[in-house]
Amino acid sequence: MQTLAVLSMKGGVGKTTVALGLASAAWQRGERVLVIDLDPQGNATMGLGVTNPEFTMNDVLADPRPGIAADAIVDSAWGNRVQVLAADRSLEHRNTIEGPLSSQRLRIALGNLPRQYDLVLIDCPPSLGEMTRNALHAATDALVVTEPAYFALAGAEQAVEAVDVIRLASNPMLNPARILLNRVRPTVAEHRNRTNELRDTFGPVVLDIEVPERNAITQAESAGMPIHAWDSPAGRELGAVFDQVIAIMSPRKRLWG
Amino acid sequence: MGLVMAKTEFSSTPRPVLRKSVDSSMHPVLDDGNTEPKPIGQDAARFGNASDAVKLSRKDKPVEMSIIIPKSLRKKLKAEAKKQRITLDELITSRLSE
Repeated sequence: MQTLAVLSMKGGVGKTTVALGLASAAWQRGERVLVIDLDPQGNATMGLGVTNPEFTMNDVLADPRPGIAADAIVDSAWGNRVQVLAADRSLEHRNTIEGPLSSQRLRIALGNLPRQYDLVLIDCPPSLGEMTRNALHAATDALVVTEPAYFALAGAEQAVEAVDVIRLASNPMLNPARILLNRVRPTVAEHRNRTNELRDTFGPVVLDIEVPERNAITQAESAGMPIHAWDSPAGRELGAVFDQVIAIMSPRKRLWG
Repeated sequence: MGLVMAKTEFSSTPRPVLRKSVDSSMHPVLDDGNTEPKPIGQDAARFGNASDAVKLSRKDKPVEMSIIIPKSLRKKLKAEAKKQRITLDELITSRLSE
C-alpha cells in the first residue's frame, strides 16, 4: 500500500499530467488504483472521464468521519481498476482551517481504504494550503513536479521544504520528497541550464528520469485515455517514462524487469 | 458434547453514510447567503454585440407587479442585487423564475 501525493507550489507545471501518467502505469500493470483529486479545478476528475458524481471531495471533507470517503468513490472511464474521489470547484470551500483536526480530515475520511489499493494517488492543488496539508498528512510519499523554468524551480524548493516540515512535525510515515522534471526539452539551452541548476541544488532528490514535452500527453488527456493506451511513438515513450518513475517511487513493490 | 456454533457478532448500528455538503451548490466566490450563481447569460446579455454573448429571451414583454413584503426583506434583496451588480427587478425576476 502506497499513498503518493503529487504536488507543486507553482501551477501549470503538470501535476495532474504526472498523476494520470502514474495512474496509467499502474493500470497497465493490472494494479488497483485510487486517484484522489484535491484540486478544485477537477482536472484529474475530468481526465479520468468522471462527470457529475453524486459526491465529491467537498462532501467528504465537510463530513470527515472515519472511512466515509468510501461512499464517494466512483469508477473511472478507464475501468473499475482505477477509481476516483472526484473534485469540483465547491472543494474551494474546504480550503480553510476547519476544527482542531483540520489537516487530518483526508486521513480520517480515508480510514483503511488505502489498504484496498495497490496505489493511492493524490493530485494536489497548486498551493501549500489546507488541501495540500491534508494530502501530506495522508501520504506515505510525495512527488514534487516542476519544469525547468525559474519560477517553477523556486516553487519546487518550497514544496520540498513543506514536505519536510509535515514529515518532521506530524506525519512520520511520510518519506522525504522526490522531484520530477516535467515538460523537458533538452534542445533548449534554458531548460538545460535550469535542469543543471536543480540537480546541483538538490542532488539525488531529483529523479534521473525526466518527462519530455510531447503532444501525445495532451491528446491522450483530452481523449480521456491512459497514456499507455495511446498508440503512437510518443505515447509509448511517455508510457516507458512513467513506468520508470513508478518503479523508482516504490522500489519495494515494483522491482523493475 | 454437542457441536458449538460460532456466534456471529454484528453491530445493529447502521454504518454512517455520506451526505451532501450544504455548500456543494454554492459558488466559492460568492459570500455567505448568496447560494445561487447567476443564471447563465445574465451578464452576457449586457454585451449585446459580442458574437459569443448568450442573450436572454426578449419575447416576454415586461409588466408591472406590486407585492407587499417586509421592509427587512426588501433591504436584504437590494443589498444582494447590489452585490451581484444587477437591478432589484432582475434579481426578483430571477428568483421568481426558479
